[in-house]
Amino acid sequence: MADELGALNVLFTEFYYWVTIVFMFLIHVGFCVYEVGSARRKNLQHTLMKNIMVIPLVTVTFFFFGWYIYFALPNGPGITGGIIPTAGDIAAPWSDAMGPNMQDRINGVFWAAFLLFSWTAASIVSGAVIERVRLGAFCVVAVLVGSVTWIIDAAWGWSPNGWMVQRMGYHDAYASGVIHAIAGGAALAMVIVLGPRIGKFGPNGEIRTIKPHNVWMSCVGLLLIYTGFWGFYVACNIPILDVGGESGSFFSSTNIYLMPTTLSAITFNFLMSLSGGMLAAFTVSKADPFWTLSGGLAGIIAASAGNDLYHPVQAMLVGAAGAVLAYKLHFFVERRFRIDDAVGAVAVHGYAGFFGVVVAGFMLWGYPAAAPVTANAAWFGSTSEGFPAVNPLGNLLGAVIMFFVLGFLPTYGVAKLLDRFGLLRVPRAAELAGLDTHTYGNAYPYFESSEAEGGFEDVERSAAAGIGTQVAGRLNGAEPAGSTSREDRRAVK
Amino acid sequence: MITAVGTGLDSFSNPADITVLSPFDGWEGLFVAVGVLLWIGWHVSQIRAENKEYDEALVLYERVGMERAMHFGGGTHLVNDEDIDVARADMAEDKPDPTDPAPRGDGSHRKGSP
Repeated sequence: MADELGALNVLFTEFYYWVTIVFMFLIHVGFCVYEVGSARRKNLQHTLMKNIMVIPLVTVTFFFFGWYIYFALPNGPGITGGIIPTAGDIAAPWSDAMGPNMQDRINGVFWAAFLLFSWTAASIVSGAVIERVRLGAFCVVAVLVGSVTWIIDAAWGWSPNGWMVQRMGYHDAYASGVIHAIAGGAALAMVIVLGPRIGKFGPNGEIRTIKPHNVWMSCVGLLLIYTGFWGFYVACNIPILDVGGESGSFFSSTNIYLMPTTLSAITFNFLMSLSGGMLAAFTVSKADPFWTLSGGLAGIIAASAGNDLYHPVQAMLVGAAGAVLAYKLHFFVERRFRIDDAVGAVAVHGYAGFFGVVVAGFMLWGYPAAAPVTANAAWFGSTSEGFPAVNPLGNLLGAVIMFFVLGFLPTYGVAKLLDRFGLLRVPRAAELAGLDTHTYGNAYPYFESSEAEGGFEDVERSAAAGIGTQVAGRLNGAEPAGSTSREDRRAVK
Repeated sequence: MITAVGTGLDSFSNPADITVLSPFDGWEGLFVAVGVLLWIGWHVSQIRAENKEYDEALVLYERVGMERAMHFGGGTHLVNDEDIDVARADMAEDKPDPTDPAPRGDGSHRKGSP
C-alpha cells in the first residue's frame, strides 16, 4: 500500500466486494419472505425462524471450517494432489488472516462473499421442507450444505485450480451447478426422507394443492431474490485483473476462473435470461404469479453457467428452456413419485441448475476453462495453448457430481440418520395443529382465517381423527408418509 | 510517566509494520475452541428443547382436543397460559414409568384421561 495507484486498486476491490455482500443479503431476505408467504398461517413463525437461523449457524461454521475447506481441497484431495498445505495460513480460523490485520485487506470480504453464497445454498433446502421438518434437524442439514458440501464443490469446480476445472474443463461461471444443483439435490434428498405434508396426497394418490397463505408475499420474496442475485453475479467477478498475458498488460474483469468477461456481459445476460425464464413460465403456467416469478429465477439459474460468455439472446433462450423444464419436471415428479416439494425448490434450483451446466458444456465447447496448472493435463481435451477446454462430457459429469454426489448423497445420509432417531420430522398432531400453535401462537391475532371453512382444512380434520392410532402413520393415503417423529413412534408402540 | 497495561497494540505510528490488530494476539486457538464448543452445544440444546416442546404440545393437544388445536387453521384460540400450565403440571406428575409400555400419546397413562 505504498503507492497511491496500488492502494486505490486494493481499496476499490475491498469496497467492490463489500457492496456485493450487502446486495446479496437481499437473497436471504427474499427467501424468508418467499417461504413465509408460501406457508400456511399456522406455520409462519416456525418457517421464518428455521430460515433465519441459517444466518448465525452457517456464518460461525463457515468461519470455523468452511473457508478452510475452499482453500485446502481444490486437488480433491487425491486427484490432482493432496491437501494444500498453505490453506491454513489464509483460512484456518486461528490464522492471522482471519481477523483484522493491516497486511491483509481482502480476506474478510472474500470470506463474507462466499458466506452469503453459503446462506443461499442452505436456504434453498429450507423452502422445500417447510411445514413438517424439525428446526433442529434442519439446522444440522443447513450446516452440512452451507459449510461443508457446497464449499467442497466450490473448491473442486469453482476455483481456477480446482481438479474439476483442470481435469474436466468444468465451466460454471455463476454457479448453476456449484450452488443451485447441489442445493437442489440436497433438497430432493430431504423431501424424500421427510415425506409429504399430511394430506398432500389422497388415498388414491390424487394430488391436493396446498395453497400459500399469501401469494403476493411469495412473489415479493422472489423479486427480492432477483435483486440479491444480481449482486451475486457481480460478486462472482474479479473487478480488475491483468489478463494480457504475453501480449502485454490488458486490464479487465474476470470470472471466478480468472478468465476474461465484463460487467456489461453479465448485465446483458442476467436480465435476458431472467426475461426468457419469465416469458416461458408465464406461458406454460398460464400466468400463475408464483410460477412466473419462479420461472424467472429458473431462467437465470439455467443460463448462469455460461452467462459470462453467452450472447444475450442465447441467455434468453437457455433461460426459457430452463424455466419450462423446471415447471414441467416439478409436476411430473410430484405426480409420478409423490414427492412434496413445497415451493418447487428442487425444480427451480436443482433441475434448472443441472440443465444449465450441461448446456454450457455444449455452448462453450472448446473455450479455455482456466489457466493450466499443468499444460495439456485435461482428460477431455485442451485448447491449442494447453488450457483445459470446456466440453460437454466434463460439464455433464460435473452436473452429476454437483447434484447427486455432493448434493443428494450426503444430505440423504444425514437425513436418514436423524430420521433413525425420530428427530427429522415433527409429530403428526403438531403438524396438523400447526408448528406455531404451541410455541408461538397465532401470527395474525387480529384476523380470523378462512381456512376454517372447507378446503384443505377438512382433509386435515379427517386426518386428526386418526391421531394416536396406526392411521396417523398413513395419512397420505396408501403410501408411507415418510419420516416419523420419536413422539409418534412411542404413541403407536 | 506511567505505562498502561495493554492487551495488544500500544501504537499506530508505523502501520506498515503492524500485522494483527485485535487484542490477545496468540490466543486465537483457544477462542476458536470455545466457539466450536458453543456451536455444538447449541445444536444439542436446540434438539433437547425441541423434544421437550413437542412432548408438551402433545399433552396440551390431547387435553384441549385436536378440534380446538386446529381451530381457525391452528392456534388462534388455543394458547392460553392456563391450558399450558395445566398441561405442564400433567407432565410433571407424569414422570416416565420405565415399566409403562406406552408412556405417552395414547392418553391411557394419565389421570382423568378418557
